[in-house]
Amino acid sequence: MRKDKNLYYQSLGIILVSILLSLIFNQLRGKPLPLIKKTVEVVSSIESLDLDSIEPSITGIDITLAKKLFEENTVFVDARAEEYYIDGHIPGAICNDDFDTLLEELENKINTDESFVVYCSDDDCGSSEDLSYELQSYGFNKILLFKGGWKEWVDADMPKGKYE
Amino acid sequence: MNKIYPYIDVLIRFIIGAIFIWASYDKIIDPGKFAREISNYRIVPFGLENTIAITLPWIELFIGFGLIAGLYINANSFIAGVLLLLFNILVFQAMVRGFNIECGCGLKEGQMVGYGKLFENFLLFAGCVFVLKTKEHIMYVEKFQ
Repeated sequence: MRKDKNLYYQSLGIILVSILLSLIFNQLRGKPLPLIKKTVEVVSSIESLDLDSIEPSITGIDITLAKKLFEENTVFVDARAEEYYIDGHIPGAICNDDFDTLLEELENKINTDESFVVYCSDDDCGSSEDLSYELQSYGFNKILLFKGGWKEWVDADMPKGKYE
Repeated sequence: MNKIYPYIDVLIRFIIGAIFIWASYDKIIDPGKFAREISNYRIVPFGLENTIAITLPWIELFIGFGLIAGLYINANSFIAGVLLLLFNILVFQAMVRGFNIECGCGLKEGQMVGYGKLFENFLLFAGCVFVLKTKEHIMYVEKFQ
């Protein structure tokens, strides 16, 4: 019984010390991660986008705004693996499994202060968000995240690009 | 036969310890990415993904270090076992809900949730039970038991 008690106390101690050190380490980072995650706000009109802000931002967009931006020839980045891109994608979207090549392609199309859209398969996939944060760390300031992704695009009967 | 148990115990401790340290490394370096991987499980409420992403890798690191260095062996294997059980519950619920997501385990880039992952965690869990059940450990720091 006493042995069990010791085990629990020791376990609790290890966990508490680890948590304490992790919080200290996080605070010592250049950019500490906030303890509570901010959700990506989803907007549906261009007016709601704060495109004049110089602060780096990742804003979620819905299908209505994605359609509008597509019609305005905004650059789309496909965060899915190339094999899915080959099967079908938003026309004109760029995609590359190699991040450096993708970055180069994106830099050839826009500068870091221009907005562009990132998408992946659907609301469940996390790759568009991962890629958005990665691109943000390379200086891209105005990233729009189309959370509905390819599935919502297809469901809305929007044009589909074919691999050439 | 019993004489060989302590050596198997050390081997298992080193394997589990190394795996936990390895798994913690990328998560400590980039907790933001780990937080997004946790989000994909869609089970953590109140935006606590970040808190978990900041703290969990350090617990893994301490467990790994403790098991290898022979510090609080039973407590570390106990926490490791509980964590592995929790991981398996998370992976399983994701599979049941049909999420085709990366497990965010920190071992292999792009490793997806699935039966392979469940089996891997179960093997490690069995290892933790073995360490916990071993009566006489060797290669440990006596003061810290």
